[in-house]
Amino acid sequence: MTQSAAHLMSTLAWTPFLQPAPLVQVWWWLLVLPMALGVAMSYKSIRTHDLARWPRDVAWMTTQIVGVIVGIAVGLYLLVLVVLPLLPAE
Amino acid sequence: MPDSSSTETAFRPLGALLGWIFPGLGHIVAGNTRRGVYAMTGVLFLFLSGVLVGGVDCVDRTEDRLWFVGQAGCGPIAFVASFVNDSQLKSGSAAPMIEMAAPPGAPKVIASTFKGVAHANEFGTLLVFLAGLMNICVILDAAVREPKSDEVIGSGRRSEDARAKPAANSISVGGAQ
Repeated sequence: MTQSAAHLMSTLAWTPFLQPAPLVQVWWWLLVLPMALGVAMSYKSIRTHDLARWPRDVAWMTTQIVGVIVGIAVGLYLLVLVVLPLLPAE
Repeated sequence: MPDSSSTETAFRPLGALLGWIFPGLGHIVAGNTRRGVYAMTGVLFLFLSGVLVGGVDCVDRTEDRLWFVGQAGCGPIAFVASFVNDSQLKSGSAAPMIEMAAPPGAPKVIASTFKGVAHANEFGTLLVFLAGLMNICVILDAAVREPKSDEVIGSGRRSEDARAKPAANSISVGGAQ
C-alpha cells in the first residue's frame, strides 16, 4: 500500500473531535495559520475601536503573526545551516 | 464631592463571570453584542480547532494539569471536554484500549487507541490553551468595558452613518407632516 493510500484510508476512518486529525503529523506546520487567525480574531474583538474595521484588522494581524514566525524560521535556518558552518571549529 | 471628570473604570464582576461561563457572553449581556459575538467567534474557533486537531484527549485535567489551568479560562466547555475525555476515551467506550510501550520495570500503561500523540496532541493542546488565555483577556475586557459603549463610538464611516440617519428620519417625518 502506498503512503498516500494509507493517508486516504486513515482520513476516511477519522472520527472528528474524538480522534486526532490524521494528516497533522505531516502537515503540522500549516497549523500556524488557524493559530494566528484565532488569536487575531480574539485580540482584535476587544482592541478594535470601530468594529467595522474588525475583519481588516484581523487579516492584518494574522499576516503579521505568520510573517514574523516565517521570518524567525528563515533566520534560524540561515543561522544554523549557513552562518554557523562558516565559523572556525575552534 | 465626587469628581465628574474622573476617568476611573468601574469593575463589573458579573460581566467577568458571564464571560467565563461562555466566551463573549459578558459583552453580549452588557449590550456590546457585536463585540461579544466577535470575541465568541475567535475563542470558539481556537477551542474547536484544538479539539479537532488533537481530539478530545488534548483537554485532560488529570494528565496535563498545568495546561488545563490555562485551558480552564475557556469556562465550562473545557471541563465538559475533559469529562468527555474521561468518559469516552479513558474508559474505553469510544475505542479499544491498548498497552503502551514502557521502559523495563515500569508499570504497565493502558491507553485508548484514540489517544493523541506527537504533533497532533501538541498543537491541539496549544490551541485550546491559547483559547483559554484569549478568553481571559476577553473576560477582563468585559469586566471593565462600559455597557453599550459600542453604540457611542464616534469614529469611522459607521458613526457618520449614525449621524446621517437621524437627519434623514427628521426629513421624512417632516415630509409626512
